Amino acid sequence: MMKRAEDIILRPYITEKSNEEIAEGKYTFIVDRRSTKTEIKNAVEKLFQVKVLSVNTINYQGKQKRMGVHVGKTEAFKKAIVKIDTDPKPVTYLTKGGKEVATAKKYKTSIEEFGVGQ
Amino acid sequence: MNVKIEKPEKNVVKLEITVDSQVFDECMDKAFMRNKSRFNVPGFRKGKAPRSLVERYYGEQVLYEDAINFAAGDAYNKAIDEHDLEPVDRPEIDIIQIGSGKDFIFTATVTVKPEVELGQYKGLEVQKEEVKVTEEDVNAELNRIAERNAKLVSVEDRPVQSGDMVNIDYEGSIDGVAFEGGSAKGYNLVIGSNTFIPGFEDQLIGFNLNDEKDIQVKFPEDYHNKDLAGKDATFRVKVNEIKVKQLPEINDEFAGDVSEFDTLEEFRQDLMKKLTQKAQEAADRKFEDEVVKKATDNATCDIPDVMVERRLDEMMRQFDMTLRYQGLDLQTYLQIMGMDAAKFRSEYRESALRDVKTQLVIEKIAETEGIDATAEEFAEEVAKMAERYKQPVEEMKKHLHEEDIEYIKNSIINRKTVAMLVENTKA
Repeated sequence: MMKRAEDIILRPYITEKSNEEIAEGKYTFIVDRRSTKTEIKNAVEKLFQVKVLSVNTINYQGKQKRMGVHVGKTEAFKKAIVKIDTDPKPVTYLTKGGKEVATAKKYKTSIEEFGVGQ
Repeated sequence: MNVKIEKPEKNVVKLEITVDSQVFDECMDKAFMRNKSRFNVPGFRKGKAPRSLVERYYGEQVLYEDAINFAAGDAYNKAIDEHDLEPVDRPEIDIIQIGSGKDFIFTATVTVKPEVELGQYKGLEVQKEEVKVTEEDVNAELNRIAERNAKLVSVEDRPVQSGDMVNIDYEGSIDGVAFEGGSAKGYNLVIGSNTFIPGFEDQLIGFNLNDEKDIQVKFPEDYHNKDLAGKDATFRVKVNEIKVKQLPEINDEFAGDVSEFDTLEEFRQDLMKKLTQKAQEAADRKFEDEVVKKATDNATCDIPDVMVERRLDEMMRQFDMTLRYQGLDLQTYLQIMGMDAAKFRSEYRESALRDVKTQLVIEKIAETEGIDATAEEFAEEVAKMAERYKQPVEEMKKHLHEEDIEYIKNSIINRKTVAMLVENTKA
């Protein structure tokens, strides 16, 4: 079964650093640990109607924490830094005669939803 | 900015002020900049979270308070300037609409200076007091000066009399036991000054020099020290010295000692002159006060309570200051007098009202007569002040704040107005 986009992109990862990178078109998310870069790219494009240029991922291991005698682990997670095109060209295709036609499809230049606590 | 003015009551103005959303947003920004170090958003160091995130995390209400202060303060001052209002109190602010992206609308209700309706103030009729200094006044003054220059002379050949100053050692005891504060050595006591408990001084009369005798006294029932009140005590008193006050004889020599004149006659004339001058000044001042009072009485004016309250505040502060010079303060004073602040206020209300009205009337007269402080007069006043504080004029000018300048100008205008009133009075 194919994973739904909502299952891949879990929540935004908002910190001072990630917040600053928005200016460069880089958005950071916590994603499903099993997802691949391609899946993340597709999910972001689907969810936010933007054009993704690149995806970098980082895997974080959970840390060992102890509450008295009990030893536990904090959750492991995967972080994905998604770079989007902040100046997307209109989507076009060529017809048979070599004529370029723009489609109605429009990419957004930013992810406005970023930062809304999910 | 948009202002609507209403007058719901006499002397009260209600302003409805609309601040553009853009301007309000700037104020929100300012408020954010000022408070940003207080906000703690996870993922950010303190003070580093951007405004949009803070607003989302805390709600934009957190910024309202300061933003309102900025926006309302600015807009209110502008509105006051624009419409030439003279408020006498802080405005009461009510918010009608607020929110980012919306215009900020509020009402400010404030009490303004009341309109003064002048009555007659020119050609008033006031009785002028005649100044008369008599020989008797001069004699009294001479006696006072003599008293001040009295010398204490030791006497040895007679016992203590009333009015003498004696130097004594004493030791008091009750039932043979000495009590605290009951003894001293080398104390200077004036007989008849009632410094000590009743009976003590009287019994000293008749003591000879170097006598050492016991005297019996009874502490009064209402003596402040409860342990001693109403008890019989024995004091062993030794008289070390008897002194008598000797007034200098009023003659040429005396005149030479206390003044720069050589003869008594010259001194008397000078005293006469000085006393006359003093009396004249006092009479002038009284006359001035009378004129101003009349002018004030002839005017009508509805004085708002706030102004009176403010004046009362000021009076209390001044009173407190005067008391502090004497090592008291207002609270202790009120306690001693068995009053409280509320009673003090109600007692002085009348005079506060009078002060406020007088000030308003003088201002109004100055306005109608076009009395103003000229640049020269101002410079003169500043020069005078500089001299008083022993500072160069330039230095003085540098230290003057705007309020000081305003104050100096006002006092010049006040003075000129009063002078004008006096001039136009039929004596």
